[in-house]
Amino acid sequence: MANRSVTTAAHRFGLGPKPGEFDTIGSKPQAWLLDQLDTPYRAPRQFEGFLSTADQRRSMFHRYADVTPRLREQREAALARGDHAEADKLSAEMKKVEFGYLTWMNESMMLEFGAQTNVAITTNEPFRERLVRFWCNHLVVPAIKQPSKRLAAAYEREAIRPHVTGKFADMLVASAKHPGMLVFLDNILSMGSNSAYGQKSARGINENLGREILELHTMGVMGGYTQSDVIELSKGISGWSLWPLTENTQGSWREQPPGAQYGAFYFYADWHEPGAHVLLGKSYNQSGVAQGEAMLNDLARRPETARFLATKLAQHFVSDTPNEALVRRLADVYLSHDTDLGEMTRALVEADEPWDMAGSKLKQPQDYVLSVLRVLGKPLLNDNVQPQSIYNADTYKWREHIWALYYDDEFGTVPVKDPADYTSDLAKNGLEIATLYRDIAAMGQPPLRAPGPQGWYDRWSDWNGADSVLKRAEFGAAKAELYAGEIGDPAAFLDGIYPGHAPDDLASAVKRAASGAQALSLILSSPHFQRR
Amino acid sequence: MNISRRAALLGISASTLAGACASRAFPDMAFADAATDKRLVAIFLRGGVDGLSLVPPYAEPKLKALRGPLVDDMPGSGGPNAMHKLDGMFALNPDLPYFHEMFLSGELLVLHSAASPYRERSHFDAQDVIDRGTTDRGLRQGWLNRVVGRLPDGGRKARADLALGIGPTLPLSLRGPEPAGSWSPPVQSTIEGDTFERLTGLYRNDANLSAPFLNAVSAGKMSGGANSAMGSAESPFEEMATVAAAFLREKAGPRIVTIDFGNWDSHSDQNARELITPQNQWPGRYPSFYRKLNSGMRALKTGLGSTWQDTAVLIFTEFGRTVRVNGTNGTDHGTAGAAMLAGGAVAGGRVISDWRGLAPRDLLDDRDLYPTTDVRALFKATLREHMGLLDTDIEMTVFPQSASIGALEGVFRT
Repeated sequence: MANRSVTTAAHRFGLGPKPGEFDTIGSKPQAWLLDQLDTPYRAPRQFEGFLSTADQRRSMFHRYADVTPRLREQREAALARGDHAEADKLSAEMKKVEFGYLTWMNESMMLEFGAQTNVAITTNEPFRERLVRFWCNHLVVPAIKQPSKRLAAAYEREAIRPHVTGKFADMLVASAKHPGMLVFLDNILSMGSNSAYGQKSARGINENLGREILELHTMGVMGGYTQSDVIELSKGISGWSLWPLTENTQGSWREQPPGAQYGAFYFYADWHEPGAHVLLGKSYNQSGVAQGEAMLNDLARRPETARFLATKLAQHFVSDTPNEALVRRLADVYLSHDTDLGEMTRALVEADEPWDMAGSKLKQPQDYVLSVLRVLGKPLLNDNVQPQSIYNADTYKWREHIWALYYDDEFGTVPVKDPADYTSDLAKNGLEIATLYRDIAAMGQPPLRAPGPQGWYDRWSDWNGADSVLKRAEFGAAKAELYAGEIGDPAAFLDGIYPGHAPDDLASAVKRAASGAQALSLILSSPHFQRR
Repeated sequence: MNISRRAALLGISASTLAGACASRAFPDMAFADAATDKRLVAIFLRGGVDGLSLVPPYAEPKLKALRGPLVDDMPGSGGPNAMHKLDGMFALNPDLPYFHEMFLSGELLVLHSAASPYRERSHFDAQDVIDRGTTDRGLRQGWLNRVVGRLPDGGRKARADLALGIGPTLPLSLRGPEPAGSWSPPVQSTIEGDTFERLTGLYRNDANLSAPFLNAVSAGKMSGGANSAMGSAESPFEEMATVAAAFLREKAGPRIVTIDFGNWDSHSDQNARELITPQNQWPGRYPSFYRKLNSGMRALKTGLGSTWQDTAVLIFTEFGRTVRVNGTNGTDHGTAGAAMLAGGAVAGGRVISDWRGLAPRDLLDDRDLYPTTDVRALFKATLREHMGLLDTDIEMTVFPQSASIGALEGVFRT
């Protein structure tokens, strides 16, 4: 136990020590981590007021989907009677509604990002928060596709967060049934060609979700499944969808089925490919939704899945190339505890490897940024964003800013407005969130927008791109400039975040620094602080 | 903010240049010209582009029956979305008029039914195979990184600024032992001179982070020309192409540049034209992507000016898609697709294809376009005829264990 350092607990397993954190940890870093696994789940207060998946969809209906068809009909009528002036007016009106819809969608996501950020900066359970981020990246629903975009954060709250110390089998089923995942990986119209509806409509299976469950969520690409398994699993989950299919009245070409809840998972029995399906050599002859559930439950319990998850977890917390014994131990614990992630994580904390190899991982950009703000004790301006008030406020100026960020943000140029234009508190709040988002995006990791269903990769070579490394250092320096006056003696600050463990070159550079701001810049921008 | 911050970045770079040059990572970093004037731009369309949509075989009688809603108006039909005819079999997608112009002026070559050697259907594995240039998983480095090491350089060692990834992080194709930079527009104020010097000292002590940190400085000093034309770009891809052109036209600029253009995975509503269609709120898919590709290509060629004559642009993807339309008006992961080569010296205006057709027996696994050419045949030809690499370097180092894949011949005018 000699290597159990509080520094490692806070930096490597956590998100960097927030002020006072070492007092909480005391002299028992391992117990501090394990306690976080044992705490019963409760939703962070910052998420109060954010919309559930169902409410998101309902709200969308009233804001957009119910309005455009009416406008379109009016426009078509105007065209039919040759009233082009009126048709143009209605066209403009439709564009406005459309702009409002997309803007609203971006706003909600930005606010969710702000709330997630503040949770990470202020939480007393940073290890648990890391696990949320890890598993959410593993079963990711990135906000990169319009219909699933604004469900990404709700998905994290509903399908991932409650399960990070529970059973992976439960998380997997919750994920595969969540409207965000079903929409993102195209399962909502996947129907068996022999199903009652499929026969009439000449529609068929969409294999996207089935493939990614095998390749990315459970067994891994080397797991030994075949194209036939992809198809069979896809058949097993055909008909897994939601009601209504779109928020648009015209798009909801089915009456509300009995028992369907607005905006929630719904199983369309008449879309499900009938009969037994053979996955990995085992025949599943259940009918209905139970068939796919049984498949997922078995997949979660496969040794290939255990190995794949154990490897990823060890790569995240230990090193790019974790040793085989550790991976095997984690996989064994996972299997012998019936896919219990809490137990697997406990085994990780109790192992020597993560403690021995402190500093061997590079922080991903978002985690780097969070750690800077966390050690400074600087959550975003308003730690209690009131989403409803912002939705309803006239905050057009920052909407425009967010819109510019989001319109095409893989690389987006941001027309930065004069901050003096942002006068109201709400607008300032929004600007701060959007600016932080932009800063992280510029390092190559736009929050909530992983590049695809594989999530963010997690090795050195994924994050040591020259431009990204420099941009992280520049972010640290910018925050140092801003807050140097508040932190007091930089040498004491350094010792406060690395108690007894500050590297010699950094400690002596801080001692010799020409100013407090320079000293803090050197700390936050240092290569040491980029590692964990 | 852009002008002043970028100017500041340049200032910082100049002031610390002496320090950077003294570093072990850059024994000979200087503003000397690279020994080759040839440029290579690698544009990776990630997500799996449907080759039958990019370069549709319009004359194939089965096309409409297999693909129904995904088939655009026939060439010459006068329809609003008419394909651009290339030859008796192939056409270009309707939303690629600039590519058509390049084809007509002989500057665009199309390779059809091309694929990597990968035969499974995972995006991420398939992209890695393209980036590594081999199916060997053990080789965790990119083919373009190996090219950097083999460029004719008159005995000079490879320099950081010989290869540049546009974007904050490096694609796998550029990762490896040779230095490669990355660049994206600055967003923060830069770190001031004295602090920067001291910070550089700390980074020099870090065996893993010193090279990236100093490479970023190296790219920064070149970025001056990259910023002026960026403001008017209508899409990230156009912006990246504009930036790439600005870097490439510098005499001391990079010789190899990578650009990623992602999200081509089109399982649903692939050919939807409108952002918001009357029946649902799905976004427009491929048509808007093609328009971005088209405007980016125009920006690249225009931005390069006379350097276009020395530039080769490879455009490729990780795999094609299923031949038949799927249950949701999209296509699923497939195998062969189309690749393109553009440039001032390309012997273009033709489609190279050993076309098998679309009958069920001609498809791979009764679902995918059958691969008839390894896309590395095009890569090899570009390295050999354009970048001047030695055959032995191409075969032994850049694409090991690919001797059976002969380079295409005569793809550049001599």
